[in-house]
Amino acid sequence: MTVTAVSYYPGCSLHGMSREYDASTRAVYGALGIDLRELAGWTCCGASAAHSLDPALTVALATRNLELAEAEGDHLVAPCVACYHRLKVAEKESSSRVTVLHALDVASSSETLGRLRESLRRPLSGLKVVCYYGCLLVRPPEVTGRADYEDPQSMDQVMSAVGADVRPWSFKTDCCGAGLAVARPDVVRRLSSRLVEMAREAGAGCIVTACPLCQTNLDTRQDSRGLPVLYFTELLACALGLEGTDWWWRRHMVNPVPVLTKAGVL
Amino acid sequence: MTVKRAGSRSACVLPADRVRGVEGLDPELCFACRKCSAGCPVADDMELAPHQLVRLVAAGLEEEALHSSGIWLCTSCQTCTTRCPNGVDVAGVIDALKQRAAASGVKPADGRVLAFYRAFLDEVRAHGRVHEMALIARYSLRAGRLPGDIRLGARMVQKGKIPLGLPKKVATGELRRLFERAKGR
Repeated sequence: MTVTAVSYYPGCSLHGMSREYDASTRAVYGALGIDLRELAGWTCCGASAAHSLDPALTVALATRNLELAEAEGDHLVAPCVACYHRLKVAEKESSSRVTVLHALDVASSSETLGRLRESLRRPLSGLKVVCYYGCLLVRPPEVTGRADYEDPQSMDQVMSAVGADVRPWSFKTDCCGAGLAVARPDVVRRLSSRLVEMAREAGAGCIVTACPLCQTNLDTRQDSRGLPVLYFTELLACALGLEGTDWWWRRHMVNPVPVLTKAGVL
Repeated sequence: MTVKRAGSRSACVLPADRVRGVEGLDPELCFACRKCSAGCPVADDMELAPHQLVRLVAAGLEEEALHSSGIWLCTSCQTCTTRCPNGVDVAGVIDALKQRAAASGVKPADGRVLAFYRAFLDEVRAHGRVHEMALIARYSLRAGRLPGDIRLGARMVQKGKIPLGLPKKVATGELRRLFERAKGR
């Protein structure tokens, strides 16, 4: 198998509250022959704080990272949707020669889908999922370049490739409000509860996400009998039969082990 | 041209075309179809919905919009911008309003979100990367209160989701210069 190396921007959350997303991303891409090389000296993209307060900082904080990436290659992969969006805006505004990709873009390329099918050890066929993309992976299309922004398909394709039962769902890109989680939990609770409720109504046994902020926001506001919220990379690791995943599940507020065991995934 | 808002909050006089004039935002193209507000996840919590904010800016009544605390509830989800049939960057207009309100010292009736954004940028400047515990501490000091879901925060610490170690600094000298250049602009 050919190994391709690509620059990796984990972002602050993957070094803090979402270390299981970082670990599962590295494990899965490693197993697929994609060597994620963490960008040395990366700093925060500024997230929603910068563009809400300061037009100059908005682009400058993200552009600094693109400049670091330019010395390393043509692509920069970000697993956090908020980072991805800020970097993507900076790519456009600064006319950078680096193309910013979300981790899901790498997973859903036809080449990686092929590798996933070849390396499949444990099909997720017993697992009913809904794919939650959130806002900034897809919107606005002028920034993300996506044509299917109202009904995105890339995560659906990746989950289908490893055998999961992907339920049709009309809430894929509705906002969960994560950016306001600290300051206005009253508003956020209403948004995230509705998403969980609608996922249940769609018949899902779990929600699959591609963002540390979405995952944390949906996972932390339920009771212990809630609906598990997983990273797509965690499920891919199961499908590829990767070892050393136990500590990931312990970091979830809603324990995903019963659902995964029942579906024959663990 | 300047607009002076009538009534008790008329102390600051602002150029009316500041948000209107930002390239690419195009609020004057709004024909009030309300599609932005129909798709907005927080429109019900705002005293002025997105289409009303855009109409105020287009009419040169920006100051009215600046004082609307609903601008701080915008989650920047970009649904409004994406769905506008006339290409108005509605989320961009709301960003510009937040930036103007913060820069001109307009105090929102509910200052929690502004305190959070300031705390976030303080943390970026201090450490180069954001550390959850330091961010929560900075937010609590700026807002004069603990986060609303503090018990959830405690459970996340127990789970190890909020690390307690001392944050390391990354490229802080460079970032300090970057922040200072931004301030000078």
